[in-house]
Amino acid sequence: MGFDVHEIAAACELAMRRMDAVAGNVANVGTPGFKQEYLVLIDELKGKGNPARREETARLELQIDFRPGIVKQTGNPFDIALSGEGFFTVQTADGTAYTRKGDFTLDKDGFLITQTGDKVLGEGGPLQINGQVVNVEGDGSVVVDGVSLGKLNIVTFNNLQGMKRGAGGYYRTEEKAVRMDDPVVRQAHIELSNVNVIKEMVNMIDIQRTVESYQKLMQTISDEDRQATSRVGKLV
Amino acid sequence: MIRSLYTAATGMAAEQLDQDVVANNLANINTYGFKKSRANFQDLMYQVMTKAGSISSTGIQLPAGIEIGMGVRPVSTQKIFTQGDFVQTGNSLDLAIEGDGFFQVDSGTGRTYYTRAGNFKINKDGNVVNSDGLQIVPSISIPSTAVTITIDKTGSVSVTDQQGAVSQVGQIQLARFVNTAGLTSIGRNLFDKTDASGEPTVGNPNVDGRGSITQYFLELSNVNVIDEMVKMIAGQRNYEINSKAVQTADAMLGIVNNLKR
Repeated sequence: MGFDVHEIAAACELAMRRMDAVAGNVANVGTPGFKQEYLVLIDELKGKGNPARREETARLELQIDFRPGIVKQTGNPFDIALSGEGFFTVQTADGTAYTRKGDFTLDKDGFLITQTGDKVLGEGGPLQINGQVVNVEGDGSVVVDGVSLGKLNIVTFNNLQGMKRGAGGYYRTEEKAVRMDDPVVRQAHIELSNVNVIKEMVNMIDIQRTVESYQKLMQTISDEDRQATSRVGKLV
Repeated sequence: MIRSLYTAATGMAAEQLDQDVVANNLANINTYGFKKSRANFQDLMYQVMTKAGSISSTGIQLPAGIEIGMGVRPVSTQKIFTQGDFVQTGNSLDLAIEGDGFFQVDSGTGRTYYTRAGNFKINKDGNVVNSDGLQIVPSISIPSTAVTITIDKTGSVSVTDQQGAVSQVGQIQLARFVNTAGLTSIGRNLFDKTDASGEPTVGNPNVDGRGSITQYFLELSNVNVIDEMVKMIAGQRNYEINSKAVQTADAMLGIVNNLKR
């Protein structure tokens, strides 16, 4: 028999993993700076010898969509959005992390921190803000009461797909961070998630119907099997 | 499979919390000195299905792993301390703070609470108290002979008696925090300090970054109705798409359950 029920079951499993990714995206539709992710099916059979000896029909590859989200004005001075590419640098207990989630705040000593309490780094280290008027300029310079504290450390990477994503909108990577010369920073703005709701709706329909087709396939194979076992040896 | 059901459910719960915050903001739109809140969200941990750099069964080294998100969680509800609008009342003990800082009131048990609501009154002993009867800190006593009360922008309180003699009877002090977002709301328009807000610097208004006092005015809430409306609309739609994800996951489970006839 050309197709095995187990192969279709495996394909069904992949469809469900794709659905998990969709659910992860739509759950974070309201998370600032969130980047949507997709599980893409990669066919590994192309030009690979005898199809009868294949072990898998396809594998999944995760792709994070790093396109910027819409930037929304909030009026809150410590909401900082990156309009183009780049990441903020954050000092965490487990080393340096990078994030696009700019809903920052201050701690009791005036250090600029993320909502999870990790210090946001400037080019010269953590930024301590003790003053009344805080201005973050378009190039990332932080000016407090007319005194410059230096620029926010905004970096980018050559290979974004190699980034490992963690909770809280943090990304980590082994790659060397490249400091951006001309970041576009907007104070009192926040970057919304880039989840495309329409696309996710279509994905959901697609995945559900795909699973339905798999079901029909498995039922058909099962019918053939039944006929093969019950009608062998019968003349009519 | 069950995972996407729960993942989408975290999305629905998050939108619910967001709407709760919006509803509270709107309910307090006419509360003097009220500061709006915002719910902040972050993504949950990621489950690693395939590690980056591992070898697939066909011998290819995978350039990127597969990590699937487990949903979303609220990380904080943040108070937004932007200035509210001012409204003129004509009442001599209605005070608004123009700029940073909080009035201090005594809880009655020796604890100091902080507030932006400046609608003060005089109790039967002549002390200046807030609407709940909590005394202002440092306490100010208005003599019964006073005819008019004048409070200047530096917080100096003086009274004029029937003979026209002017005397200073007190000094309003304001408290300023480095991290106002770290204050905790305890209801009744009051804030309490926390480890995150740090200790306040207390002093006279109009110096060291503390705001100035404006008599005969009150500060309205800083809730922006249009903003909140937009949040409600977006929140409802976000809730809807998450419920669709739950429905899809459910339908897929139904299909799987019907595999065997």
